[in-house]
Amino acid sequence: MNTSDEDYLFDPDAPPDAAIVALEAELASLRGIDVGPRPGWADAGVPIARGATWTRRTAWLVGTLIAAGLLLTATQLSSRLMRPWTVVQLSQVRGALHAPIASARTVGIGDVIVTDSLTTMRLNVGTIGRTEIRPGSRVRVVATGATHYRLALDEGEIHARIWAPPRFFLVETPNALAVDLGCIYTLRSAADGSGFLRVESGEVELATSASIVRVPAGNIVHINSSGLPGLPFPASSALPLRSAISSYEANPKDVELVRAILRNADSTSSIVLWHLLSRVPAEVRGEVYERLAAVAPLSLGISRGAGHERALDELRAALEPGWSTERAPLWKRWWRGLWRGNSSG
Amino acid sequence: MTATELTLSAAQVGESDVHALVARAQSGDRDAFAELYRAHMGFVRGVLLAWVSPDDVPDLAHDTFLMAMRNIASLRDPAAFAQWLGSIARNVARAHHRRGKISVPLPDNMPASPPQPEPSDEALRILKAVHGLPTRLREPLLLRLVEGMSGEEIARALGISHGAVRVALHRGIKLLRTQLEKP
Repeated sequence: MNTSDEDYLFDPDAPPDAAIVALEAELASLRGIDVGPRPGWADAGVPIARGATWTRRTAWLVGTLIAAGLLLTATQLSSRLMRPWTVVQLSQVRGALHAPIASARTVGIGDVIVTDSLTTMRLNVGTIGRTEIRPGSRVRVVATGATHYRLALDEGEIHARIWAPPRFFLVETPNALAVDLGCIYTLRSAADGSGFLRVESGEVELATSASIVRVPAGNIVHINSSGLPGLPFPASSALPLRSAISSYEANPKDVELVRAILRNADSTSSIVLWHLLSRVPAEVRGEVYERLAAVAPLSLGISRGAGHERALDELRAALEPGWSTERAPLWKRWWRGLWRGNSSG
Repeated sequence: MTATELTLSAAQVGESDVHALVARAQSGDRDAFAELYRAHMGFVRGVLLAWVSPDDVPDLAHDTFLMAMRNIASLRDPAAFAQWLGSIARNVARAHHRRGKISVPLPDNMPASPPQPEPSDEALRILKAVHGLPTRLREPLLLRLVEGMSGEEIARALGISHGAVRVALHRGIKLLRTQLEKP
């Protein structure tokens, strides 16, 4: 052990060691990296504890709502569906630690909730459910009412758990509208509208300017920045199929990319192939049908001569029960069925 | 107060001063936070240099202090301010690697990062060698060799024992020399 460099290493005031002094000299230019406060920096971040960021408009609105809260509450609390939404900070991440911090605040229409890269917040949606707003997100409360609650996810990710009747809870992104049909799901959106929807329980209807897609439990669908929903696929799909779907969604007119999906499809891929049937050009539709018949044996005697649209509907009716990974009781499936619209897929 | 009087290093700001500054900052005193910023900016730079490229350090340091200012009221132990700040800096660096950017809402009129002097080629070569060392050795080494912090100051700031710092510095220098001698 070199005592001289050890002493100087630990104590810069000790007699210097030439080799370490040389290293310090070589590294001196790194000390020139300016990390000082920038002009106006102190005004950039309002030091709100708990990690939430509020716009000035929101702070004014919340203050006004609190002042008028007693009168409002007396008339509206009688209806459970009109109970105000509350924001409760779920946790704040520090390294590997999650420190739960409880501070509930009430939010209303027009309020904006922004989470930084360390903070997760939970939004209790009246009495119909709750939404976890994940780090790096921006969410707006758009509407609340007796029969509907609407959020806007401008950017970031939310995880929603809703136990209201279907179509009570809606989340809009820059390119799509997710309509809850009684479920648990994760929705992510970048500022350009690209993102994904992953459904864990129940079903979500995803509407864009181009089409409407119903996504059952256990499935994922991507949304591109042009607002086109992708092909729903099982979350358990292998990487080659996911890659093939991703390539197709980037260039849907390329029939070779369609064939790549067909090559990688397996017995769990009927949801992918059914949605593909309704999108591909006629020249390759037969191949998609053949592959669908191979992976999901159809026993209903559906004739290819029955007309494309009718065949699609009949195919869907036959295949759809197998698309969800959830085994909901019969009454639940009947209840959800009542609320479904006509989705083009 | 003049700008010179405000330029203090963490070593010059004593423990009781940090305690008092944190308490004032937690009650909304931005000047107190500004003093904490200046006293710890070298420390944050040293921590970030252990994880990211020098080009990314200015913006990530800025993000670190911004996050610290927003969350300082949640710091329960003012004496652990430096350790807390260091862990924010590491999280910022990790998130930078994961996503390439940090979501920190800023007003539109925020000035861009100032032009930075270019580190020397040799400094970059040494830094690259440091990045190849075990992670637990990088911060003590850079805090000592770049920021000139003593072993005692490093121990206090990182929340580790003097002995652990000695071992890290000794082992770090030894491995660094081996790395630098490779062609």
